Amino acid sequence: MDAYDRKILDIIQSGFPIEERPYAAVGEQLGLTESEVLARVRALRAKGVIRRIGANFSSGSLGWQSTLCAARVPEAQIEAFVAEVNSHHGVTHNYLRDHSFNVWFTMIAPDMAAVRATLAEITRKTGISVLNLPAEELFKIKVDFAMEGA
Amino acid sequence: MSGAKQFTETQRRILALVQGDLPDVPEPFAEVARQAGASQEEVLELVRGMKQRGEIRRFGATLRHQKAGYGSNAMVAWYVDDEDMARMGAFMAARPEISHCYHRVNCMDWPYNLYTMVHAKTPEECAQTVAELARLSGLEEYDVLKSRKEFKKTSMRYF
Repeated sequence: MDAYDRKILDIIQSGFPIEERPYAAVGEQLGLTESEVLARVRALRAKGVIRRIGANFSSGSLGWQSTLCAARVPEAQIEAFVAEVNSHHGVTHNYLRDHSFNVWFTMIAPDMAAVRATLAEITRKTGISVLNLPAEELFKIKVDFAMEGA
Repeated sequence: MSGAKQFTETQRRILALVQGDLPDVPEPFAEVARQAGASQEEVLELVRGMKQRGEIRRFGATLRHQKAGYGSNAMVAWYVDDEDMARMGAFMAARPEISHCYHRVNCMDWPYNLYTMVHAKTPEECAQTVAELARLSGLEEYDVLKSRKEFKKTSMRYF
Protein backbone atom coordinates (compact mmCIF):
# COMPACT_ATOMS: atom_id res chain seq x y z
CA MET A 1 0.00 0.00 0.00
CA ASP A 2 1.56 3.31 -1.06
CA ALA A 3 0.63 6.93 -0.41
CA TYR A 4 -1.87 7.03 -3.31
CA ASP A 5 -3.58 3.87 -2.08
CA ARG A 6 -3.96 5.41 1.37
CA LYS A 7 -5.36 8.64 -0.10
CA ILE A 8 -7.83 6.69 -2.20
CA LEU A 9 -8.97 4.70 0.85
CA ASP A 10 -9.37 7.87 2.90
CA ILE A 11 -11.69 9.26 0.21
CA ILE A 12 -13.74 6.21 -0.71
CA GLN A 13 -14.51 4.94 2.82
CA SER A 14 -16.96 7.76 3.54
CA GLY A 15 -16.95 9.91 0.42
CA PHE A 16 -17.31 7.44 -2.44
CA PRO A 17 -18.65 9.79 -5.16
CA ILE A 18 -22.29 9.05 -5.96
CA GLU A 19 -21.80 10.10 -9.56
CA GLU A 20 -21.79 8.57 -13.01
CA ARG A 21 -18.00 8.08 -13.06
CA PRO A 22 -16.94 7.86 -9.40
CA TYR A 23 -13.36 6.71 -10.09
CA ALA A 24 -12.79 9.64 -12.44
CA ALA A 25 -14.04 11.97 -9.67
CA VAL A 26 -11.63 10.43 -7.14
CA GLY A 27 -8.82 10.70 -9.71
CA GLU A 28 -9.54 14.39 -10.20
CA GLN A 29 -9.00 15.00 -6.48
CA LEU A 30 -5.66 13.19 -6.53
CA GLY A 31 -4.24 13.89 -9.97
CA LEU A 32 -4.73 10.33 -11.21
CA THR A 33 -6.64 9.05 -14.22
CA GLU A 34 -9.88 7.10 -13.88
CA SER A 35 -8.17 3.89 -14.99
CA GLU A 36 -5.32 4.35 -12.51
CA VAL A 37 -7.78 4.76 -9.62
CA LEU A 38 -9.87 1.79 -10.74
CA ALA A 39 -6.76 -0.40 -11.07
CA ARG A 40 -5.64 0.54 -7.55
CA VAL A 41 -9.11 -0.13 -6.10
CA ARG A 42 -9.18 -3.51 -7.86
CA ALA A 43 -5.78 -4.38 -6.41
CA LEU A 44 -6.93 -3.38 -2.90
CA ARG A 45 -10.01 -5.58 -3.31
CA ALA A 46 -7.87 -8.48 -4.57
CA LYS A 47 -5.53 -8.12 -1.57
CA GLY A 48 -8.55 -8.21 0.73
CA VAL A 49 -7.98 -4.71 2.14
CA ILE A 50 -11.38 -3.63 0.77
CA ARG A 51 -14.12 -6.02 1.86
CA ARG A 52 -16.89 -4.37 -0.15
CA ILE A 53 -18.03 -1.07 -1.61
CA GLY A 54 -21.64 -0.13 -1.06
CA ALA A 55 -24.30 1.35 1.19
CA ASN A 56 -24.29 1.00 4.98
CA PHE A 57 -27.79 1.64 6.20
CA SER A 58 -28.82 3.15 9.51
CA SER A 59 -31.16 0.58 11.02
CA GLY A 60 -32.80 3.25 13.20
CA SER A 61 -33.41 5.70 10.34
CA LEU A 62 -35.00 2.88 8.34
CA GLY A 63 -37.32 2.22 11.31
CA TRP A 64 -35.65 -1.10 12.23
CA GLN A 65 -34.64 -2.21 15.71
CA SER A 66 -31.10 -3.32 16.53
CA THR A 67 -29.78 -4.84 19.71
CA LEU A 68 -26.76 -6.44 21.38
CA CYS A 69 -27.22 -9.85 22.93
CA ALA A 70 -25.12 -11.88 25.34
CA ALA A 71 -25.29 -15.43 26.64
CA ARG A 72 -23.42 -17.71 29.03
CA VAL A 73 -22.85 -20.83 26.98
CA PRO A 74 -21.15 -23.95 28.39
CA GLU A 75 -18.11 -24.96 26.31
CA ALA A 76 -19.75 -28.16 25.06
CA GLN A 77 -22.80 -26.30 23.74
CA ILE A 78 -21.03 -23.44 21.98
CA GLU A 79 -21.03 -25.00 18.54
CA ALA A 80 -24.73 -25.84 18.56
CA PHE A 81 -25.71 -22.50 20.11
CA VAL A 82 -23.70 -20.51 17.57
CA ALA A 83 -25.13 -22.52 14.68
CA GLU A 84 -28.67 -21.74 15.87
CA VAL A 85 -27.95 -18.03 16.47
CA ASN A 86 -26.15 -17.58 13.14
CA SER A 87 -28.97 -19.23 11.21
CA HIS A 88 -31.07 -16.11 11.85
CA HIS A 89 -30.77 -13.57 9.05
CA GLY A 90 -30.80 -10.55 11.36
CA VAL A 91 -27.71 -11.69 13.27
CA THR A 92 -24.87 -9.69 11.72
CA HIS A 93 -21.97 -10.07 14.17
CA ASN A 94 -21.23 -12.88 16.59
CA TYR A 95 -18.09 -13.27 18.71
CA LEU A 96 -16.69 -15.55 21.36
CA ARG A 97 -15.38 -13.28 24.12
CA ASP A 98 -13.24 -13.90 27.20
CA HIS A 99 -15.92 -13.56 29.89
CA SER A 100 -18.50 -15.66 31.74
CA PHE A 101 -20.93 -14.12 29.25
CA ASN A 102 -18.93 -15.61 26.41
CA VAL A 103 -21.10 -15.33 23.30
CA TRP A 104 -22.02 -11.85 22.08
CA PHE A 105 -24.03 -11.13 18.97
CA THR A 106 -25.87 -8.26 17.34
CA MET A 107 -29.31 -8.58 15.83
CA ILE A 108 -31.38 -6.34 13.55
CA ALA A 109 -35.12 -6.86 12.97
CA PRO A 110 -38.06 -4.79 11.70
CA ASP A 111 -39.24 -4.17 15.30
CA MET A 112 -38.63 -5.18 18.92
CA ALA A 113 -41.41 -7.77 18.81
CA ALA A 114 -39.48 -9.57 16.05
CA VAL A 115 -36.26 -9.34 18.08
CA ARG A 116 -37.99 -10.85 21.13
CA ALA A 117 -39.60 -13.61 19.06
CA THR A 118 -36.23 -14.61 17.60
CA LEU A 119 -34.53 -14.61 21.01
CA ALA A 120 -37.37 -16.70 22.44
CA GLU A 121 -36.94 -19.18 19.61
CA ILE A 122 -33.17 -19.39 20.23
CA THR A 123 -33.80 -20.05 23.93
CA ARG A 124 -36.50 -22.62 23.19
CA LYS A 125 -34.20 -24.53 20.83
CA THR A 126 -31.01 -24.35 22.91
CA GLY A 127 -32.20 -24.02 26.50
CA ILE A 128 -29.92 -21.00 26.93
CA SER A 129 -31.30 -17.63 27.98
CA VAL A 130 -30.09 -14.52 26.22
CA LEU A 131 -29.62 -10.96 27.51
CA ASN A 132 -31.27 -8.38 25.25
CA LEU A 133 -29.42 -5.04 25.53
CA PRO A 134 -30.96 -2.59 23.04
CA ALA A 135 -29.40 0.84 22.64
CA GLU A 136 -31.01 3.78 24.42
CA GLU A 137 -28.76 6.26 22.68
CA LEU A 138 -26.15 6.20 19.95
CA PHE A 139 -23.17 8.40 20.79
CA LYS A 140 -20.93 7.37 17.93
CA ILE A 141 -20.63 5.06 14.99
CA LYS A 142 -17.66 5.58 12.79
CA VAL A 143 -16.07 2.73 10.99
CA ASP A 144 -13.61 4.36 8.68
CA PHE A 145 -9.98 4.41 9.65
CA ALA A 146 -7.46 7.08 8.74
CA MET A 147 -4.98 5.55 6.34
CA GLU A 148 -2.71 8.52 5.80
CA GLY A 149 -0.23 8.56 8.63
CA ALA A 150 -1.31 5.02 9.55
CA MET B 1 -43.01 2.39 17.06
CA SER B 2 -43.47 3.56 13.46
CA GLY B 3 -42.01 0.39 11.94
CA ALA B 4 -39.84 -0.26 8.94
CA LYS B 5 -39.81 2.30 6.13
CA GLN B 6 -41.44 1.12 2.90
CA PHE B 7 -40.00 1.32 -0.63
CA THR B 8 -41.30 0.65 -4.15
CA GLU B 9 -40.37 -2.58 -5.91
CA THR B 10 -37.89 -0.77 -8.16
CA GLN B 11 -36.31 0.98 -5.17
CA ARG B 12 -36.02 -2.34 -3.37
CA ARG B 13 -34.23 -3.88 -6.36
CA ILE B 14 -31.79 -0.94 -6.44
CA LEU B 15 -31.19 -1.11 -2.67
CA ALA B 16 -30.74 -4.88 -2.79
CA LEU B 17 -27.84 -4.27 -5.19
CA VAL B 18 -26.16 -1.36 -3.36
CA GLN B 19 -26.37 -3.09 0.03
CA GLY B 20 -23.94 -5.64 -1.43
CA ASP B 21 -20.82 -4.91 -3.41
CA LEU B 22 -20.98 -2.38 -6.26
CA PRO B 23 -20.19 -3.79 -9.71
CA ASP B 24 -16.47 -3.45 -10.36
CA VAL B 25 -16.77 -1.26 -13.48
CA PRO B 26 -16.04 2.40 -14.30
CA GLU B 27 -19.77 3.29 -14.21
CA PRO B 28 -21.11 1.18 -11.32
CA PHE B 29 -24.38 3.10 -10.88
CA ALA B 30 -25.26 2.65 -14.55
CA GLU B 31 -24.69 -1.09 -14.10
CA VAL B 32 -26.86 -1.13 -10.94
CA ALA B 33 -29.57 0.70 -12.90
CA ARG B 34 -29.37 -1.84 -15.73
CA GLN B 35 -29.64 -4.79 -13.33
CA ALA B 36 -32.54 -3.18 -11.40
CA GLY B 37 -34.45 -2.12 -14.51
CA ALA B 38 -34.20 1.55 -13.54
CA SER B 39 -32.51 4.63 -14.95
CA GLN B 40 -29.11 5.74 -13.66
CA GLU B 41 -30.76 9.01 -12.58
CA GLU B 42 -33.23 7.09 -10.36
CA VAL B 43 -30.36 5.17 -8.77
CA LEU B 44 -28.27 8.28 -8.10
CA GLU B 45 -31.27 10.23 -6.72
CA LEU B 46 -32.34 7.40 -4.43
CA VAL B 47 -28.85 6.82 -3.02
CA ARG B 48 -28.06 10.53 -2.65
CA GLY B 49 -31.44 11.20 -0.99
CA MET B 50 -31.10 8.34 1.46
CA LYS B 51 -27.57 9.44 2.30
CA GLN B 52 -28.79 13.01 2.90
CA ARG B 53 -31.58 11.79 5.17
CA GLY B 54 -29.17 9.57 7.09
CA GLU B 55 -30.94 6.36 6.05
CA ILE B 56 -27.66 5.47 4.38
CA ARG B 57 -25.19 6.15 7.18
CA ARG B 58 -22.16 5.76 4.98
CA PHE B 59 -21.64 4.96 1.32
CA GLY B 60 -18.24 3.61 0.40
CA ALA B 61 -15.55 1.05 0.97
CA THR B 62 -15.63 -1.19 4.03
CA LEU B 63 -12.13 -2.34 4.97
CA ARG B 64 -10.92 -5.44 6.71
CA HIS B 65 -9.44 -3.86 9.82
CA GLN B 66 -6.73 -6.46 10.32
CA LYS B 67 -5.43 -5.93 6.80
CA ALA B 68 -5.65 -2.16 7.18
CA GLY B 69 -3.27 -2.30 10.15
CA TYR B 70 -5.79 -2.01 13.00
CA GLY B 71 -5.39 -5.54 14.27
CA SER B 72 -6.49 -5.33 17.88
CA ASN B 73 -9.84 -4.35 19.32
CA ALA B 74 -11.86 -4.75 22.47
CA MET B 75 -15.40 -4.10 23.49
CA VAL B 76 -15.39 -2.31 26.83
CA ALA B 77 -18.61 -2.20 28.85
CA TRP B 78 -18.74 0.53 31.52
CA TYR B 79 -21.13 1.33 34.33
CA VAL B 80 -22.10 5.00 34.29
CA ASP B 81 -24.54 6.74 36.64
CA ASP B 82 -27.55 8.11 34.75
CA GLU B 83 -26.70 11.72 35.52
CA ASP B 84 -23.20 11.28 34.03
CA MET B 85 -24.28 9.40 30.92
CA ALA B 86 -24.46 12.34 28.49
CA ARG B 87 -21.06 13.66 29.56
CA MET B 88 -19.38 10.23 29.44
CA GLY B 89 -20.96 9.42 26.08
CA ALA B 90 -19.61 12.66 24.65
CA PHE B 91 -16.18 12.00 26.17
CA MET B 92 -15.92 8.51 24.69
CA ALA B 93 -17.36 9.57 21.32
CA ALA B 94 -14.68 12.26 20.96
CA ARG B 95 -11.88 9.69 21.21
CA PRO B 96 -10.47 8.70 17.80
CA GLU B 97 -9.66 5.14 18.98
CA ILE B 98 -13.37 4.49 19.61
CA SER B 99 -15.46 3.50 16.60
CA HIS B 100 -18.77 2.70 18.29
CA CYS B 101 -20.26 4.10 21.49
CA TYR B 102 -23.73 3.26 22.75
CA HIS B 103 -25.78 3.76 25.88
CA ARG B 104 -27.62 0.46 26.33
CA VAL B 105 -30.15 -0.81 28.83
CA ASN B 106 -28.72 -2.83 31.70
CA CYS B 107 -30.34 -5.47 33.87
CA MET B 108 -29.94 -7.49 37.06
CA ASP B 109 -27.53 -9.90 35.40
CA TRP B 110 -25.50 -7.24 33.65
CA PRO B 111 -24.84 -3.85 35.26
CA TYR B 112 -22.97 -2.10 32.44
CA ASN B 113 -24.76 0.52 30.39
CA LEU B 114 -22.14 2.27 28.22
CA TYR B 115 -20.36 0.35 25.45
CA THR B 116 -17.27 1.33 23.51
CA MET B 117 -15.42 -0.45 20.70
CA VAL B 118 -11.73 0.39 21.05
CA HIS B 119 -9.35 -0.16 18.12
CA ALA B 120 -5.57 -0.23 18.14
CA LYS B 121 -2.70 -1.57 16.11
CA THR B 122 -1.47 -3.97 18.80
CA PRO B 123 -2.96 -5.64 21.92
CA GLU B 124 -0.55 -3.60 24.09
CA GLU B 125 -1.71 -0.34 22.55
CA CYS B 126 -5.33 -1.47 23.04
CA ALA B 127 -4.76 -2.19 26.75
CA GLN B 128 -3.00 1.16 27.18
CA THR B 129 -5.91 2.97 25.57
CA VAL B 130 -8.45 1.25 27.84
CA ALA B 131 -6.38 2.15 30.91
CA GLU B 132 -6.17 5.75 29.74
CA LEU B 133 -9.93 5.92 29.11
CA ALA B 134 -10.56 4.61 32.63
CA ARG B 135 -8.14 7.10 34.17
CA LEU B 136 -9.44 10.13 32.25
CA SER B 137 -13.12 9.28 32.69
CA GLY B 138 -12.82 8.28 36.34
CA LEU B 139 -15.07 5.29 35.61
CA GLU B 140 -14.19 2.40 37.90
CA GLU B 141 -16.68 -0.34 37.07
CA TYR B 142 -15.96 -1.79 33.65
CA ASP B 143 -15.21 -5.03 31.90
CA VAL B 144 -12.98 -5.56 28.87
CA LEU B 145 -14.50 -8.12 26.53
CA LYS B 146 -11.77 -9.22 24.14
CA SER B 147 -12.91 -11.24 21.18
CA ARG B 148 -11.40 -14.70 21.01
CA LYS B 149 -13.14 -15.92 17.87
CA GLU B 150 -15.31 -14.42 15.14
CA PHE B 151 -18.39 -16.58 14.47
CA LYS B 152 -20.12 -14.23 12.07
CA LYS B 153 -19.50 -10.83 10.53
CA THR B 154 -21.76 -9.66 7.75
CA SER B 155 -23.52 -6.53 6.62
CA MET B 156 -27.27 -6.63 7.24
CA ARG B 157 -29.34 -7.38 4.14
CA TYR B 158 -32.43 -5.20 4.62
CA PHE B 159 -33.71 -5.59 1.05
